[in-house]
Amino acid sequence: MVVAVDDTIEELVARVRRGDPRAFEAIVRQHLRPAYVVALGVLRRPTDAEDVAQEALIVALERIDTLRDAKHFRSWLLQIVRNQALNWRSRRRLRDVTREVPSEPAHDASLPDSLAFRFRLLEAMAVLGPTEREVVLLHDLEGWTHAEIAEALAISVVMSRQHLFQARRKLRTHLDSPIEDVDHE
Amino acid sequence: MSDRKIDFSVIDPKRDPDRWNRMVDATVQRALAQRQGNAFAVTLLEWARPALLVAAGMALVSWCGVTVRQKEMVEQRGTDEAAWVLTRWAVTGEEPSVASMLVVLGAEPQ
Repeated sequence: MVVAVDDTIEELVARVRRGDPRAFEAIVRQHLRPAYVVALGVLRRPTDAEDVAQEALIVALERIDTLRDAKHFRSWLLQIVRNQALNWRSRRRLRDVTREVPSEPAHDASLPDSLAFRFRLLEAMAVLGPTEREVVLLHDLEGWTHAEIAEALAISVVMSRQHLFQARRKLRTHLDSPIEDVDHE
Repeated sequence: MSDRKIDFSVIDPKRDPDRWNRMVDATVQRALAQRQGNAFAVTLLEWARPALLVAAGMALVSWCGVTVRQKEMVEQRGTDEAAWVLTRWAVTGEEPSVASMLVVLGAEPQ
């Protein structure tokens, strides 16, 4: 299937509204990881974030006729992701309390290095605020510019830079420090 | 110290391209199915209104027909009764009752 990566978001949204499958794929390819990143910022569990990102994109594409200005698709989508993630977290809390789910084995010495680092990184993200998490993930994982982040999160470019600086500093401090328990929620 | 990127590759879903592509494909398929399902529902809704109007029109025509027919039957019955009363009066010479005469003159039968 050919993906028209050069299309603007307005063109893609118009084609999605007409039911063009290639436009669906282009939008999903472009936005699934940003959606995952925002969901991860709320949930801090990669598998949950993947599920929420997929669900949010499906919901967004289903309701795309309600989007007034196509050029705001990105921020509109990320708001849907945030809402879906918050709902998911509420349901997860209820479920986890009911089942008394044990916490993830973050400090298991038998884990491979990459997996241990993954757990430490997810734990370290707990020390960040929600916006810091979104900014650092969108910038360092997704590769967005500060202008793009500022527009999508409705903050200024200066604030985006500030959040990134703070987030990196906190993460490095936590990752360099000896292992300690962090509140998971 | 905070100018360097944090390495998030361990939590990057694109790290496994096959799995990532499957995830994208599954999302696209579900979104398309959802959208097509909605389109079908919208088409149904679009057709529902004219279909309802046609049905209402047909019901109105049918109701009018039944009403007109009933009225004709009542009028026919009145005409038949008048003819019978007058014939009987002429043949037997027996005067009809006042009520019968009123019917002959066009009053609604009681």
